Amino acid sequence: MSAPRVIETDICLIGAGITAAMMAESLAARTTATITVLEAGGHTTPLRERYARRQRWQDYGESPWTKDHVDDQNALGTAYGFSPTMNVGGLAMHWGGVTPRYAPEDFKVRSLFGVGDDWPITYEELDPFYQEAEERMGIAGEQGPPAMDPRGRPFPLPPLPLSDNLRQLQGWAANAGVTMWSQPSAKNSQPHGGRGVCQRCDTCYPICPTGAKYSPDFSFDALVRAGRIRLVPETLVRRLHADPRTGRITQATGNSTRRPDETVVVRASTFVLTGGFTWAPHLLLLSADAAHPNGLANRSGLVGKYLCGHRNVAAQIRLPLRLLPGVNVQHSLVTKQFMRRGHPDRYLRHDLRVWESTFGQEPRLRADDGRLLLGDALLADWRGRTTEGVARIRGYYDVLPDRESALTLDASVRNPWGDPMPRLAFRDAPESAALRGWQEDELRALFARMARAGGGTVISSASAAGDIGQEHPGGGCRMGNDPAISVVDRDGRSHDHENLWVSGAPTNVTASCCNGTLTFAALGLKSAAAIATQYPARP
Amino acid sequence: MLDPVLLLALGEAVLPESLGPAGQRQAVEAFTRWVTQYAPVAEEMHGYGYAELTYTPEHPAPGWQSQLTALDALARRTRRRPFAQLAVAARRAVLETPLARERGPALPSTPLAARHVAVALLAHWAATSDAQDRAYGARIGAGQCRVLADTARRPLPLAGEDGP
Repeated sequence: MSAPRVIETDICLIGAGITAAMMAESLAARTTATITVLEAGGHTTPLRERYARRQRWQDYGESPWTKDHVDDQNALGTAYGFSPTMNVGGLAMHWGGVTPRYAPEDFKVRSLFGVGDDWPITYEELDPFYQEAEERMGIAGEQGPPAMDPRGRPFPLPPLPLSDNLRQLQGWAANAGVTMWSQPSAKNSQPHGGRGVCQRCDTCYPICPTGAKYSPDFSFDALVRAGRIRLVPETLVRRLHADPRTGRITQATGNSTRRPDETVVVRASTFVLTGGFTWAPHLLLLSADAAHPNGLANRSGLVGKYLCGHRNVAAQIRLPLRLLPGVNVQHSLVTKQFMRRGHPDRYLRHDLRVWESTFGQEPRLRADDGRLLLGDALLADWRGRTTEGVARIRGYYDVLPDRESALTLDASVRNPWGDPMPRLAFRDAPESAALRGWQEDELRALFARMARAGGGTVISSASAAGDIGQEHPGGGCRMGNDPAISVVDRDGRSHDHENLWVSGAPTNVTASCCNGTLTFAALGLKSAAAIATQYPARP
Repeated sequence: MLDPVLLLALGEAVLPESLGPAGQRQAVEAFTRWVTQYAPVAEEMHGYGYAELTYTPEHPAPGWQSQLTALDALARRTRRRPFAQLAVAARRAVLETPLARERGPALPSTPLAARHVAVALLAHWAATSDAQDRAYGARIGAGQCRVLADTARRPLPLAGEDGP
């Protein structure tokens, strides 16, 4: 066994996803502290190869992201809400770039609606960090009606333009009493951050070939080039070590994932877990010792608990509109109308998005009478079914987490170093479980009303996949003011270890009813601002 | 990998005549390139929401070549001529038998989901931006990188179309 590789730094971020990228940018701008970012995975497909990889994905369904996971390092127990992705940039290397903010109501659902738990922070407190995240990524957004879409300052970039299809659908929604606007997105509507303008290639997910969509590798590359951070890929942190007397974290230890026998020791004055809702609580539980037999930061017993997310109900609606789908297929309309005021009778808050769609218009091999369609007959049949428009509509609805919506260690499945892998089991709080059927019926009824308002028909409807997971998951290290019922404080600092922070998705109390990435990043930036006060300011 | 004469004959039978001979030939050549460049057991996309790693299936070319050979044999047996020498209508009649086993009315979204080479060829063509433009009668260019500033402009009609 060779001597361990030793890394000395002021601030150590563990996990190089989007939260870490934002935090590293912020910390590097605010302080002179040395910053090291550790990542278990390696570098995945560089920008120069993304056109070619995109083509392989389009042609064959191949993953455009090379070497983007670590063998034998995966979560168990859920097939939704988790991805095995481990690489520099994390899941946000293949995110859709959709960046709504949570609504003010999300932070006080107990106070306002009598369900779930309030956050220890308000929307207004998070607003400047939302803004900072939007400016760092370069968010193209349209200001919705202020009553629905409050924000302190304008979006940094103009909105992505609406296609003729979305304009028509916007009119349809307005006639149905629903105010919709252009979905905010981390896609350049004008040059930003040294990256060019979106070319609406239609493959934002899973891969933007031009770099117009923000991904965390751009931040890391720039910071490394400028000498502002040290990025250490292919290094899996397996334990944090706490001083039994003071509780301070003294070092992190792990192994190289490229050379498994090589051990790594990281000494820092501040440790920040930025590995997301799975790997942050996993590391805390793995780090149990004699003084902390239930894992670090776990005096409350809540590490790994209260995993949160949301589900959706979706539909396809045929409308008497002449739509030409394919103009910018991943862009959508959005409204926060139903996030703000909620349902008047029982708890239901949801977002709503509308896209152009080709559902039901796909080419067919057989006509309704069973006749084989070949040649021009196939094309004529296809054309005959494109004369009306189809809208895809989807609402994410808020699901309140149960305490036992939890990540645990599964000793039956271990990685090559013998660490038990995480097992995830999402569970609704009783009030959400009781409301679920009614909530989904209400969404379907809304879709039917909207269809009727446009002289259309719901031609398909589906709900999110059962209980096997939830979307845009967070939690596992929820924030709160009371150390008895939370893992970290309002800035993400552990109640139990003064130099240990958890940032981003794991600190969510609830997961709202919209995509969570921007909020994860904003929470990380709030942590970064607090951490930076402990180090000399950058002049 | 695939008999070029038989494959072109198949393309003439299943692809839209309105593509013209050159368009049909181009579609067949594009399909041939797709087959040639296919990589079995490549890692498939495992993006957000998918915990399992999956891999592309075995190479479809041997099975498809067998089907082409069988088509030719069927033509010789039932029509007493090679498949490639039959008129298009007769080729389509020969195809009725193997395609009777295809599932459902929808064309698969990818050649890999097709059970017969004829369907794979059609699926490959139908997935192209050009095919979608023909279906909607407009120059949409789906899946192609295009200027953002043109987003708001309604796609122009295809030549000879009244305009969608």
